[in-house]
Amino acid sequence: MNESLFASKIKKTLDTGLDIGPGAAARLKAARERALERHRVPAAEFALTGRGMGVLRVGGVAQSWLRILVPAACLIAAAIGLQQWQETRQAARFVAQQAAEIEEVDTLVLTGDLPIKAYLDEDFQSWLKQASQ
Amino acid sequence: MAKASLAIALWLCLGTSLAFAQTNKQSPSWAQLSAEQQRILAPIQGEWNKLDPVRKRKWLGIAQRYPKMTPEEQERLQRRMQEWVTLTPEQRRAAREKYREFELLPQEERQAMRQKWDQYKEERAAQDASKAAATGKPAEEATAASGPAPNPPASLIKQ
Repeated sequence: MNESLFASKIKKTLDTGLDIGPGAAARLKAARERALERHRVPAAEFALTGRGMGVLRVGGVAQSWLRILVPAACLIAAAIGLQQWQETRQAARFVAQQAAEIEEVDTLVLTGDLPIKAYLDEDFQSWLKQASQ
Repeated sequence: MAKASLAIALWLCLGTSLAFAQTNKQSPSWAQLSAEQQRILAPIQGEWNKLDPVRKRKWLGIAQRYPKMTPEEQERLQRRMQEWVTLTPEQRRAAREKYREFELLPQEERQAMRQKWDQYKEERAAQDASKAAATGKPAEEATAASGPAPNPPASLIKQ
């Protein structure tokens, strides 16, 4: 077989195409996709660019870890923040309650007829008792 | 995901700053008070920054009630504030308790209390004068020697 004859046979085969059934075609397609999937370069999750910084790419195993760690850290931080906020609110409520209780009495003591000394003078208390007897 | 992380971080920052703002609101410094509050609370200006949040809040509450008080009550409040803040916590507690006791008395007795106090003071003054006459010392010295009766009892003073 000379060269030109061989070439014309190949041309003829390529022009008519292979006679592949639909099942085989589907299997070939799936195999090709699997092979491509294995060799695909992981896409960068994010890239930070800046003057003189170059490009930071994160992918592969590091990316999977980040996918777990970052949300977990955020959740922990949020939980701590929430707890502190609640503690602050509780403290504020306690302060308000205590202050309201003594505010009422103090206002009355400070604006009433009797001077403060009268409430603190033990002799006056005894004198009152004697006077009432 | 980066956006979600950023949102959470921003939320945390906001929460923290709100918490700080809340703390600041609870314990404002003298400079943070309004001009009106400063005017009413002027007698305790020197003590203000030493007060704990509970006491500051109480004084702010009293300042809020101030405009509704009668001129006489306002004058009494201004006059007694300084004395009140310099008392020990035990003395203030004792005064509050005594006030509550007096509140339980019948109304006539409560109303007559001021009169009784004046009467008591007069009697004490007369006693001191007679002591002074007996010892030949001026009344003030005699009072000092016999102990400061109208002052808080020594048992209530901390130091």
